[in-house]
Amino acid sequence: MIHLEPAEIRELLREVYDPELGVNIVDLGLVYDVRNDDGDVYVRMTLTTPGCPLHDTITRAVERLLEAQPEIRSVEVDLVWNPSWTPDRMSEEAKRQLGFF
Amino acid sequence: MGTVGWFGLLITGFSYKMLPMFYLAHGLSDRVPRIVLFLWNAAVLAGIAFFLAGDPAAGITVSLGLLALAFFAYNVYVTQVRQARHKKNPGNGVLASVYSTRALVVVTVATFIFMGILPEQAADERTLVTIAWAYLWGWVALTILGYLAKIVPFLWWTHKYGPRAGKGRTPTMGEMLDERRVAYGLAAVAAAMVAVMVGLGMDAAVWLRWSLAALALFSLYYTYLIARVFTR
Repeated sequence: MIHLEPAEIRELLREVYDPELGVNIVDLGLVYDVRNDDGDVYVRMTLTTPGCPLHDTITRAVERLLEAQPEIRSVEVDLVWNPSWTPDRMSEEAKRQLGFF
Repeated sequence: MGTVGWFGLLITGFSYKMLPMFYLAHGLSDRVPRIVLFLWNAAVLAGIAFFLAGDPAAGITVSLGLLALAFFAYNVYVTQVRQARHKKNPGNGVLASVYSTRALVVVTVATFIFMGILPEQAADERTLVTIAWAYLWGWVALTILGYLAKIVPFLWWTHKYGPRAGKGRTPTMGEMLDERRVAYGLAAVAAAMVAVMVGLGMDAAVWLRWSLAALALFSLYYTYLIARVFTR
């Protein structure tokens, strides 16, 4: 099985968007850690706000996207609230898309 | 209790979640919301107490005074959210609720000046009905209509596209509803509402009839806009 590096998995995660903000979760700075243990992928991430109504939608989207990759055997998404997300975690591209500098 | 207490606390309550969420504002203290909660409840309870004690006129003065302070405090909170924002445009529906909250304070100040000059107006039925319209349509209804422009697309998107997220391209929530039409619709409703208030204040029956017809028509148009989300 071809091994996907965490950086490659992180690039894949740019396909998952916050549907309200229209910005992908990597540029938003929501993805804290990505690990690949011989096809068993672990993603530690957060959301922009606790009690985000898109909680299940976004985490399930991550699972669906990664489970569809033939190089990945299993996916575990660990949603954490500590450290909490702050806007300074956003990329410059995300800030540009949100119309704010 | 219902009009001021339930509506007011409902709207300010869910605004403490909605406004920071759509402005992407973080690190806000809950000190001002607590002050708003205290003042709003005090206004309702003061009104009830004076009414039960048989002095409704004094109750209106004290209650409206406390409510005015609550409106000011709530506006301070809205300002704090906007200062802490990381998203420039929260959407035209949310903007409408912000503008109507600002207008609420302007109307409150105008009302106090008016009643200070003409204190007997505090017991005048037409004056009270006009003020009630400003509150119910100008703030409560416009805020709810504005928030619907976020809530309905969210619910429909979650139902229809949520299960597909991560499997390919899905539309964003912004694509569920035309923001320009939301702005036009809400502006038209607000303009018609102002016309109704003018008609009520002047006791002009013909003006009132036409402005109420316009309000109904524009409200129906806005309802149609929201209903179209379900076809996306």
